[in-house]
Amino acid sequence: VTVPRDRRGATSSDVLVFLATVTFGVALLYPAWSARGFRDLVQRAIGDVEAVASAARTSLETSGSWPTPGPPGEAPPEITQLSGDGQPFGRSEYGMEWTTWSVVDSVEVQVDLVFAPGDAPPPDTGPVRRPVVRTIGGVGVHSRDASLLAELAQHFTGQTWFVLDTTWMLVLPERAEARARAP
Amino acid sequence: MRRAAEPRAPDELAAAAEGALAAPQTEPVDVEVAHAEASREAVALPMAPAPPEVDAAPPALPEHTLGTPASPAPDPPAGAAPASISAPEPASPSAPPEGPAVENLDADLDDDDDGATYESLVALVASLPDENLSESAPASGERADRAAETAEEIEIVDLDQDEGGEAVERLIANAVVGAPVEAAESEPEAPLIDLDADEPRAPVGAPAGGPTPTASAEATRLALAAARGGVDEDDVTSFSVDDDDVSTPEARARLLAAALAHAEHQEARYRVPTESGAARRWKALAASLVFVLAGWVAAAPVKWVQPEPPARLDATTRARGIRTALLLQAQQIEAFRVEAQRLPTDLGELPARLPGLVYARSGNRAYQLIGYEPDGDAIIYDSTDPLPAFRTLIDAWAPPEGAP
Repeated sequence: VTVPRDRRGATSSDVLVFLATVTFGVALLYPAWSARGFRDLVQRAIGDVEAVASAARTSLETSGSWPTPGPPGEAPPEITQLSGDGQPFGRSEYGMEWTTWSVVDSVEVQVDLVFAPGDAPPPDTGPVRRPVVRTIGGVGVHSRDASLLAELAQHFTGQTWFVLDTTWMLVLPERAEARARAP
Repeated sequence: MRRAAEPRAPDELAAAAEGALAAPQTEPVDVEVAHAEASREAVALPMAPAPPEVDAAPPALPEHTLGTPASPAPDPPAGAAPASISAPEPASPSAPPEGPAVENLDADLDDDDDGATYESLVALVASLPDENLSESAPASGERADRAAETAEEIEIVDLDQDEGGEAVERLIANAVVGAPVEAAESEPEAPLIDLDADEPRAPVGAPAGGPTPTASAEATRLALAAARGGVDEDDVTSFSVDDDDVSTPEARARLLAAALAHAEHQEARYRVPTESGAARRWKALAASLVFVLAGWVAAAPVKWVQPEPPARLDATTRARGIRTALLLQAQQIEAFRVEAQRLPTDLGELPARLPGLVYARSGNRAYQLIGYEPDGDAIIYDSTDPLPAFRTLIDAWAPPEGAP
């Protein structure tokens, strides 16, 4: 049986060269493609942190107190609009957390000296410092991706944050213009 | 057409016959019934003698005009003796009648009063001697009886025995007299073409003995298209397969060319491309080199291939973060002490607790918090004497100016 031959068409060598070329192209483009996905994730996380911080500050300004803290992935009752699919507290790539911290400040107070009539007044000791407790806020991102946490730390340079284990936490003072600095 | 007629009295029948004969032909049913009734009446009436003037000069017709629709004879008036019918003399029955003429058989049949019978009329038409002429009177009476019986005959159709519904259709056809009759169109028979015994038949306007120049050009075009390696559907022009076209050489040539082109197209699909051994070796070598290059790029990508690397936390930044965490946790303990006037037993008593930190009490007023860097080094916060690194961090959440 004579098999008709033709110089047109693709041979096995042609197919091999084509596959090699495709593989080379994939090797070239995969890092950029993969980095693009990571960049999208970072931008999404940054946007979520800013959205939660803005909502918390709005709640503080309107009600005078920070939103109620909750576990990771659960939106506080004051900012329930940020929960659900596509919202900061509904992400599957990372867990968003809102929490509050109590800090103690030493405040100088003037102490009224009490002495009996006829007694010599006690020496003036000046004002004394008394502790005052106040509350600050915190936006946390829980993720096992150290690169994501590092990207968040790099983006929020100039604000107070820390990375502990798999958690990145942004500290929110009462006012945005409060002195905040990176560690 | 059969119609059932109820028997009537003779007077009524006679009146009906006269009225029917005088009525125009627009009512054929009534005329027919009246004709039968008039025939019955003729039984009782005596045979009228033939008029002498008719016998004296019987007109002779050179040609018989019976059955000529182009010259229908007008109906004679009722009761009038037809002038064209001449009964032979009873005295000489053997003599052949000379010059019998029938101008209109229907008109003659309608006029039974003159004594002419059906058999005599047939004999006149056929130029035969009328053998039954002497029996014309009784024959006429019998025919009138038969006509009356025919008029009174009722068709009885047994529908159970009817196969194929022919009787029902006939009855329906009879019932719908006057309805427009649809002319059955018979399909023209398709001509049978015997290709084996078919001689090349030259079509009109085409030379006989081979395909036309148009067919040759079409075949050449299809062959060239097939030689190019493929025949698209656009190359094969569609042509009708009517019987008239198939039978022509042109159609057969086009059909053959289309079949050959289709076969070439199908065969081209299975052609195996070939190449020389050197080309195959060079292509294999090039493919191998490209595969190696792809592997190298994947394993150790060059700088221009790599995107911007993600951020990484160095040890210093991570250590400062742990210090910040220790200081923030210490603030929770101080806030608890301000409110509870004591130190917490463990970090579980605090409303907020950071993971990875160790709490250790060294008395009723002192405690230590310990954190660990990634490399395992411990970072300790001592409440009695915090390190300067912690003091600088506490300004991060210092109260705003103007706050109490």
